[in-house]
Amino acid sequence: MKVLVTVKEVATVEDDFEISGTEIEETYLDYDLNEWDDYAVEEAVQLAEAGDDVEVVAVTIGPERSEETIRMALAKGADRAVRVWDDAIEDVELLDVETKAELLGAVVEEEDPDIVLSGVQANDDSFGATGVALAETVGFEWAAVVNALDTEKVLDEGVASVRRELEGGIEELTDVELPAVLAIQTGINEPRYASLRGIRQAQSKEIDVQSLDDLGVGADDVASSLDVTAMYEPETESDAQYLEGDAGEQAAKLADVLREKGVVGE
Amino acid sequence: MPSYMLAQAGVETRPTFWRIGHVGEALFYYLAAVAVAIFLYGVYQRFATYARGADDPRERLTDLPARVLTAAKLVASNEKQFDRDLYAGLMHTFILWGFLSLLIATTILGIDMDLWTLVLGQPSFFVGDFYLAYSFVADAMGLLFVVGVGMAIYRRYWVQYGRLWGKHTSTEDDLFVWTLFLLGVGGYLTEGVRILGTSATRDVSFETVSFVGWFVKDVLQAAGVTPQAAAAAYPVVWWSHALLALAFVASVPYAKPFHMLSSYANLVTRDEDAGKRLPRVPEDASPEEIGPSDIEDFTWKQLLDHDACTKCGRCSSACPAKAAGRPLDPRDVILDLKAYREGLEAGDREEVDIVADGGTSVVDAETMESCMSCMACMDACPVDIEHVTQFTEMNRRLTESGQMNKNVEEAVMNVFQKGNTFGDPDRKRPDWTDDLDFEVPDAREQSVEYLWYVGDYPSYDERNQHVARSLARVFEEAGVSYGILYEDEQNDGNDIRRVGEEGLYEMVAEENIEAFQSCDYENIVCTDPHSYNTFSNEYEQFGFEDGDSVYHYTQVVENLVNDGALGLTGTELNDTVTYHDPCHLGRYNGEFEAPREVVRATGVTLDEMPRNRSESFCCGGGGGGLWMDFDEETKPSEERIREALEDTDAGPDVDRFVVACPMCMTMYEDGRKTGGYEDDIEITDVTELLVEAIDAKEK
Ligand code: SF4
Ligand code: SF4
Repeated sequence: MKVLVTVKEVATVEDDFEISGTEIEETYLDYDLNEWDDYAVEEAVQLAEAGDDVEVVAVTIGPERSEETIRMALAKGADRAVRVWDDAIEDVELLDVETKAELLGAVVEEEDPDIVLSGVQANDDSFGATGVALAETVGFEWAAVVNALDTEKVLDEGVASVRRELEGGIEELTDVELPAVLAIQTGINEPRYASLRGIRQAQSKEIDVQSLDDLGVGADDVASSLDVTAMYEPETESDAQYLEGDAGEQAAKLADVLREKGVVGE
Repeated sequence: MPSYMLAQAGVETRPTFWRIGHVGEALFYYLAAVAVAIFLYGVYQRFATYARGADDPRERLTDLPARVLTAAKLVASNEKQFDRDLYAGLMHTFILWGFLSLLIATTILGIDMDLWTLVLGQPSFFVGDFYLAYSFVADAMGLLFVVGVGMAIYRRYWVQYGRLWGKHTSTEDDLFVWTLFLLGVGGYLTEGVRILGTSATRDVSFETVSFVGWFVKDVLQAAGVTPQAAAAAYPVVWWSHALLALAFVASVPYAKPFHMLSSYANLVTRDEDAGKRLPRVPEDASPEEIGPSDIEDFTWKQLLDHDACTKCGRCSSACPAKAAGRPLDPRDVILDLKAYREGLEAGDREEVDIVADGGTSVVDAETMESCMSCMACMDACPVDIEHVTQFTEMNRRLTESGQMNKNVEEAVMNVFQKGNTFGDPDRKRPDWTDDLDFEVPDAREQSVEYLWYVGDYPSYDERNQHVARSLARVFEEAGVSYGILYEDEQNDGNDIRRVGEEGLYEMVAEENIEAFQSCDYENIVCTDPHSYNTFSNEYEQFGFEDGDSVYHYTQVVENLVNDGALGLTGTELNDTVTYHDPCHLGRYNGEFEAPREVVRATGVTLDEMPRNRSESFCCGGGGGGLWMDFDEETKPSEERIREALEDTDAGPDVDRFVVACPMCMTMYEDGRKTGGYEDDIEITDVTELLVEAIDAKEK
């Protein structure tokens, strides 16, 4: 069985950042493995640990710098990695979901996995559609916002029996036929720690760099439909009100406020 | 029986094997041989187990004669038993010396009977003055022995002394102490019966030298026992005593008495740097090979550690984690490992992980996370068991298997990504200097006498930045040539290593050494005792050669004070304070006096807490404790502040709690708030006190 995990290197911004043009200055940026992808990697590795002969391949779209991040996935137990990059991609200011799905789709076609795990969303740009768009592109079944997966059923029956988080606190239990793309929600597992020794050892694992040519994708296909038009820091507006009194009084006052604001009915 | 005939001829001696007969004597020798064989086989088995253990990274057998001698001195003086506990010291001294004397006495008798008279055909020397002196000394030392064992029994069963009772207390403990008691008392009974029995046929008045035996004889007589009855009963009494003694000899390697050998061996092979200098892991070791996964992964010395444990509970009673209700009991960890090994050998335990999260392993992850690496256990252990080394190696296993505690992981990742535990950018490291009205020299650009390693907390944590600024002022005031590394400083790694992230420790150690080497300096001075410890004891493992010129700031400041560089008269302040020894400065590195000197030089009255110097009680911040949240009954920091306010001479009049470590500062500022002590006491660093004194002088 082959499991493909899509991972993204996300930027984290320091507290006192500065903006220049439509970008945050590089000094204030740090890079890390996307939190949701961390859970997806863990889920993939747990599949590999539970089954015989399960290969885990991590795939990312990113510049050379992102190898540091993808190495985390390798240190945690992915067997090998694919990094998609090209000058044509570098020229795009902000990759839209469709383009990412296109690029990852080309990798899926090449690798032919049984199951693709992606994170629900990305920490930095908060895009949350890549997983589903990818399923659409490659014609796989899909399930989004998965917070439980029955590992044994995947391995034994080739069915992803999942629990999904829906709006309004509703949860759905559903079976998805493989091959499928699952968008993994945080909390599904406890991602393991990748030790430094582990990261160092992962240096010997293969990271295969694929260009657009390698993937058979044309440069025109990566033209993004998104432009960043402005970047600014919104004014924080907050209005805090302290309710005096003992617990009973505070509760009564709070009830009044909620009623007044229309949060609860009369 | 020649010896009996001698007695009849009027020479003072005692009949050996009296009324036992030739068959009995032969039987005795046969049983003795069997007992010795069982003993030797058991000892061989134990040592064969150690031989199967992994190699130990420390040299432990070099200079063996000196090691044997030092260990013998430790055992003979019982100094470790007297530490913190006079009663136990006396008890152990009495038993040890009583036992050894009786052992020597029996050996002398054996030499006389079997070697001197039998093999060499010489006339027995077990007669006359020699016999009288021998009997007196043996009786006196035997009495000491019985008194010692009695003290042990009294404490164990009557007082029900807390630390003696634990999860692993079992029948072997009862058997050990009661067998010793019966052996001691039985010896006197045998002697008394013999004196009474032989009195029928000879004048036994010379036997008064065996004053205890004589007393027993008197008691028997008073109870109406006739010499004839005594003579008749003697074989039964003698055989009971002999069989018990032989059974004891045979049992030594199989139960608690083995500590006589294992604990001694443990002292011989001890490492005096244990704990403060942790072992490296082999450079080519993969994550799976780091830290113990199986019992065979423990080194031979660690297996010996497990067997050397006497269950005395001193470690656990000194452990701050246990006192705070964290799920850690250092004695239980050592004995759980031993029980697991013995269970595996006996085939009645399944193989499980040594350490893991989830409750099925021998040691639970939470237990290891609870350890503060404070070394109180090792300081208290009378047989030099190296808990902290083993606990760190188990933390390494947790780290390498991805099971690091989440809160610790955050701090560790910050160090990996940003070089400090706060996760703040390195360009902000020198921000603490902004409020000073002088420029702190840059050691990267000018040569300095003291390269000052400021540390994470003094650089980034607001409360500790005040400490850093105070120290900068002291250096300025005294005209010290010093400088800092600015952005090129990184976390020192001491605690990273102790939570088990050896790979990251290696990385920061190497990078810090590189930063040091790019500067021109004579000495390194640290604000934090944790940095001081790892620079001076551990960086050497990575090629750092200046370990001997690393100082804690209190040591440097002490010299400044003594040289009068600060112009203090010793009357500047008049508060009453108490001083808390940081584990890494005091217990780890033996520096107790320098900070006290500095404190006193400000004019304050220094009032000691009962647990001071090597008995200091950890603030709870060591071993990653600073980064974790625990469900604690009373935080160690709160308990310690309570001690300062209740158990010192001045009690509630203690105005300040003086610390010399940034981690202690953070923990105690917290304990002061959560414990409700805000109005009662202030937490002050030694330097802050000094700056106040300087200011008072200037006024
Ligand atoms: S080092 Fe300190 S906290 Fe850890 S077990 Fe020993 S005494 Fe307890
Ligand atoms: S480890 Fe040392 S201090 Fe602790 S119970 Fe064993 S012998 Fe006593």
